[in-house]
Amino acid sequence: MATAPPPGNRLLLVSTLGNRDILLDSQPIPQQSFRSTCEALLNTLKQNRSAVLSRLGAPILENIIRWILERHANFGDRPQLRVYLVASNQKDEHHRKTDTLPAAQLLQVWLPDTFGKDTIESVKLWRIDTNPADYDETINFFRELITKRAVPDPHEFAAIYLNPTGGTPALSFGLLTVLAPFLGEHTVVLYLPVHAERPTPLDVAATYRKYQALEDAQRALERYDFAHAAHLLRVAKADPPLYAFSEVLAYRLAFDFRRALYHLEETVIPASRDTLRALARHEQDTLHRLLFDAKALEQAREPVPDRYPTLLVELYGSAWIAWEQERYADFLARVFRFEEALLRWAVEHCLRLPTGAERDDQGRPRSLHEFRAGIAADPELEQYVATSPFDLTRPPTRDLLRYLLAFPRLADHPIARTVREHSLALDPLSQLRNQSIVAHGFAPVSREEIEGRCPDPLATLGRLVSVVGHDPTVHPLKASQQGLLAELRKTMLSW
Amino acid sequence: MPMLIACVGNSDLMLDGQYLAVRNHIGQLPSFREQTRALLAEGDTILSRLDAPLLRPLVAWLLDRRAKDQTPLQIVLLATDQDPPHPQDTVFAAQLLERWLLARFPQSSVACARDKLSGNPSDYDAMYRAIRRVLQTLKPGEPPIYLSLTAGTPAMTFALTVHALDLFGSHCSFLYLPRGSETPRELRVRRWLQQAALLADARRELQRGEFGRAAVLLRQAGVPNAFAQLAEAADHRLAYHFEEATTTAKQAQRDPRTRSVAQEFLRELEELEAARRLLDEKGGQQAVPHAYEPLLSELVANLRLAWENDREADFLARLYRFHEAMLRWLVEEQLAAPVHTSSGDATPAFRRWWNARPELQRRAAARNLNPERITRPLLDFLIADIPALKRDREVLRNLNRLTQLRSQTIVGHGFLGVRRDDILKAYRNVAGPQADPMRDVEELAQRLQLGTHADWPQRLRATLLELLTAWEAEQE
Repeated sequence: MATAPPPGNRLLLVSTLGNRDILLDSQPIPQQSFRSTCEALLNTLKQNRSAVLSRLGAPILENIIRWILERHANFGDRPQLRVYLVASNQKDEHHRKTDTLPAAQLLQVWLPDTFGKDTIESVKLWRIDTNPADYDETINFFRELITKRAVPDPHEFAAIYLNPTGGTPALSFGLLTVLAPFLGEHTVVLYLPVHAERPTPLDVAATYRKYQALEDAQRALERYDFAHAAHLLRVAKADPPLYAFSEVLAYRLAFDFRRALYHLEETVIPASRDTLRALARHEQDTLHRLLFDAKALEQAREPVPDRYPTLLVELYGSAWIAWEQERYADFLARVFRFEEALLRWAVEHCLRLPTGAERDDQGRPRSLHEFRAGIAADPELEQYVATSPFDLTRPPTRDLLRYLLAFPRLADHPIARTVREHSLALDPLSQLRNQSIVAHGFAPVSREEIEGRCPDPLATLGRLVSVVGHDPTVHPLKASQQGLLAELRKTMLSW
Repeated sequence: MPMLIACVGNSDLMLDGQYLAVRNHIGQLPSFREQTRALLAEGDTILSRLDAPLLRPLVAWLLDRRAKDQTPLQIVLLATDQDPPHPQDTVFAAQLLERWLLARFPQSSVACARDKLSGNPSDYDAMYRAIRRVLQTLKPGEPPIYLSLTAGTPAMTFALTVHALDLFGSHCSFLYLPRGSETPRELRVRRWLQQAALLADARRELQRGEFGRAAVLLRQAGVPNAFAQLAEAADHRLAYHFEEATTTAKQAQRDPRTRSVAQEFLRELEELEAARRLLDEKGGQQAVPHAYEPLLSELVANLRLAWENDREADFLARLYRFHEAMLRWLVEEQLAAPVHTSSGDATPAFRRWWNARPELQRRAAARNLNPERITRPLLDFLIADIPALKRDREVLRNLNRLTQLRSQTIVGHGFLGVRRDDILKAYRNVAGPQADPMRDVEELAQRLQLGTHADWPQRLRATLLELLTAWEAEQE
């Protein structure tokens, strides 16, 4: 594969050929005698080259090549055009009379003669020996050209043109469905309408690729893979607010609420209208809340249980996606964090103790003074903790938090009980996480390994997230995802 | 209700055995559009003089095939009606064809519908959009959905094929009436195009290192099972499930095309499994630095994929493990101190090693380090005085900035959002304005000769792509 860009004057044209592609004395050659007439001309060409060439014309190719050369005339160097002609040469006697191979051989001489040997680098022929009207055959023909490496490396050319004007529908079909994708995104399809002198450059290849990218983006959105979807929407040149919104959701999924909000307010909202704007406004509210809660938690020295639920729900969504995408070690990393955060929420809610951490003079992490003071202020609780092996000066561990939730005074507290019991079911997963490559070990992680320790981990997470009032069957990003998908479908329909 | 979708072309109608189409219409004769409009005005009396040379054999063939089926065949005709009107428009031909089909075939056997295609039928771009729009509104019943590629312009048949495949998938069946034949042919193009699409998707997933998803797509595309097995084995390997990866890769050994690559893969897996076994069995009792080496190298491969796929938090989670394991390896390799532990607590063997070094104990105490817990500060302290490790420690110290960042994220103990920019910014603050953590991890692994496995995903990806290309060539 060439690494340096090709010279700007290196051009490639691939053209199918039909019976309309060659004129003799300015007239089409009758179909019944097409092959025989061209063969006779070829024989004469050997003796009297100029006489034959002066009688020929190529109404389609001539216009197309002239247009290409004009288009590239501004480059410093003279254009160097390599031409491939797809010509039929059937075995079946009945159809041989309309075959285009002899016509292609005539054009092989005529084109350099007309446009100059300095300009037409070479004219090469690709012969299809089977029925050019048969879709199966033409597709196999083009596939074979690629697999047998008969097709030149597209990276060698600055521009590539395909001309499906002549030839059968099956040949055009093969040219566009097999060859165009192989030749890549710089390929331009040229079509010369009847009676026209200038071809119409069609963006069918780009259109096809664009649609493909939009559909791939749709699939990525369905998998909650917003970052990849945003990339694909950019590739598809979708409306900026659409891919920007996908980027916003990618930031949100990465818990970067600040950047998500900034991007939403700077890029999506000003450029969106109607339903997308309403969706963006709703997203703005959600992100404001998430950002507010995350900041509050980061700085909290007092218990702030009300700030946890939105973030717990968001984390539940993140774990759900990792599970669905079969990224099991990453799922465990999130479960660990979910369990820890849930326990902290429950302790802050039930005991009004702040569960954060700070660093001491020597940079060591420590529990908050307010945490220790809160326990000390409750003699019954202080007594309860004193009988435990926990070091209260260290940041509260999951075991300490669970121990606090088992405080006898909370025995009938529904939140304390539910969190204590159900979070225990997740504990084996936290242990597996500790042994895996996302923590401290090299232990294997698979769905089976996880389900062997916790039979239905998503359901367990669901039971826990329902404690903070969230319906576990609804993904927290579902509304945003569905809204964006609806916008994308609208784009695809109107496009 | 089964469905036949057909574009209407100028060769679709005959009157008294003659084609109605006028080639290169120049205005003297009535155009195709005008002729068909005039015929339509004549009412049903004209129907007996008409014929549909392309549709009739298709419909007859389908009805014959479905003789026992009681539900009518739903025929959808796609016709052009340009603005301004074009002489070759088929909009009135489609209306004539509809009447003719209902009269020609028993009423209970066929039902007809028409849709207009806006735009120039020779314009690939316009037809691509127009046909997509029409097909999206159709609600086909039971499969298959028959699509005729016989009539219409190349632009129309191209768009019809591509969109039908996309919207109706494997329910499509493409029909073509060869020249001069009364018997349609069912094309194999559907299978090929579907396979091509699946292979294109599989290649994309392989490029992204998504081996698990690639394996599913490869199976659907019908490539040799061994190719998919290799991809599946890679997926298990990325999850450090070496046993499962070995079982799967062994199956890929049976195919001669994948034998050598599977054997190489299995050799690496064997080394990895042995390393892990050694670490589990002897780690903590004695220093086993060579057990760390392939496992660390494997972690580099894992880090690379998370980094390339923009999974930043997951990258940090793995980096945390890499950082810790590197420190342990350096300590074991340089000092032969057994620092492996699964709980974080020092093992008896480490205590023995520690107790034999009073000077070290004194210095550790001065820094308030607890030798009972094998923490990263303790490990770094142990190698702090080894001049040969100065450069490596510096890299690890820089990476440590990122492990702190990890602690604040959802794969640690916080809710901090993290994106690539954040990682680069945090890292460059300590490592220099051009520093790249992934590059530094790889350079460190290479310099310390941790093993040659780290590039296995790239190697396997390249091999699988080559195998796919060769297999496609074989199919010709």
